[in-house]
Amino acid sequence: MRWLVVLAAAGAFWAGAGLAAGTNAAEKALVEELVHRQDMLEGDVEKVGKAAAEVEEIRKTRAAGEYVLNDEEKRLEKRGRVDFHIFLERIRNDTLEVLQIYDRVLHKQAYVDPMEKLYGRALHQIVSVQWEDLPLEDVVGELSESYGVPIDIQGLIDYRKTMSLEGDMSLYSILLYIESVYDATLVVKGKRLFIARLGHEDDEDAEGDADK
Amino acid sequence: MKRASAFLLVAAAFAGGLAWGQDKGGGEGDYDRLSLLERLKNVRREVKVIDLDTALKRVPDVVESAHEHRALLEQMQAAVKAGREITPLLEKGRTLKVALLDELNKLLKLHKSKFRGLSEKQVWERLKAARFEDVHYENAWLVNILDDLEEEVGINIEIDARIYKFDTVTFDFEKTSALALLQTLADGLLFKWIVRGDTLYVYKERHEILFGGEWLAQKKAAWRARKLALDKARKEAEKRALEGSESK
Repeated sequence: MRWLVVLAAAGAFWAGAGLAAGTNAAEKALVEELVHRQDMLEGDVEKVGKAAAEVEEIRKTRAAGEYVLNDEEKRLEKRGRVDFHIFLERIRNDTLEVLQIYDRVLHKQAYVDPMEKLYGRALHQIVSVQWEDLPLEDVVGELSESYGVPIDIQGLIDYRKTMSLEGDMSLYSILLYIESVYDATLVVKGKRLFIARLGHEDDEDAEGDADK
Repeated sequence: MKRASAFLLVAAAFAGGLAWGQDKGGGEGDYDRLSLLERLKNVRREVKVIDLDTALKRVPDVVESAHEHRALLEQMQAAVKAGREITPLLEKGRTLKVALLDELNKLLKLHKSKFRGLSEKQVWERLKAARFEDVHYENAWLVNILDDLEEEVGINIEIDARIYKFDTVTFDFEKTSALALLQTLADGLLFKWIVRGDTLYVYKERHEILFGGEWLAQKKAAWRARKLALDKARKEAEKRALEGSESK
């Protein structure tokens, strides 16, 4: 009995240590990602800081010597102002993305798109597709297999309808296209995606007409 | 001399090339056939211009925030190495970025539509609920389509300065949704979008923009190459003319 207790305690210890190691690895990866993003950002921040300091310097030079810009310099100044704006926007966009990372790990997202939860970054990755007159089942089968997420078709979907799609697009676009073509709704339940079509006003009208 | 040095200073501070813009420039697509006036008439969104005075005052804070974030990341790395809890540091990092986003939005004059003030969840709900029938756009400008989306869906859409607003799009959908339309645009024109707070930000991914002296250096190299080519052509023409006169 005592051995059993000791074994249980040892098991719990190792499980705990394993869990801690897993968490630590995840934290390490997270910090590495944040550091990588910071490395990318710093060049922009430096450039913007330097540009701002130089503009101040130019202003001083111009004020002291009543310097007047020629047309070429005016053109450059205008272009520079646009670039300045663009760089600040680039820093803003980066801030948005880093905030997304923080929000995700700290569970502070106001809303998480269930599709994003299900597919992660793969949802927005561009892929090439070439489907011609394929039944929905075939398309769904291919998507389920490629992304490892089972997709079920449910409800009053018109199975006879085929679909054609060609080009480079994201998985999200493909799924939203299916949603529109089949007048369906994408529903995420657990680790599965359902392409569902449950009752529709038009169908009821059609049924009503048929009764008459 | 003073003029020359001032010019260099101006050039160093301001010169820059927008790589993406350069790619687009030079006459391709239908939009080039249209006059600037025609284009401007069709763009409904107001033109945002950065207030340089405000920017100059606030940029040091942006730089300082980046330095603070770097210091925080170093603390995080040390904490991870030592096996300490990093959540409080992550919270600090987030607070820093929330403040920075607020600062940058003020500086960049966030687009002010009538749909400001919604919650993030409301923006998503509206985005998912909006369905359209018979959507036809023929060579329509991106900016106008996004403005239509803003109006039809009832959300605030902010467009990055690097998004080429005159990119033309042709759509013909019997049935579609706002989300499908947006994602199709994003896939086709290679932009990204994020919903944060009451705004849907449409933006370009990071790419190389030449800045500082880089653009000027490239221009100078191009001018030099052109001058050399012209000189060479002139010399050859002179040589041919000389040979011609000699043969006569």
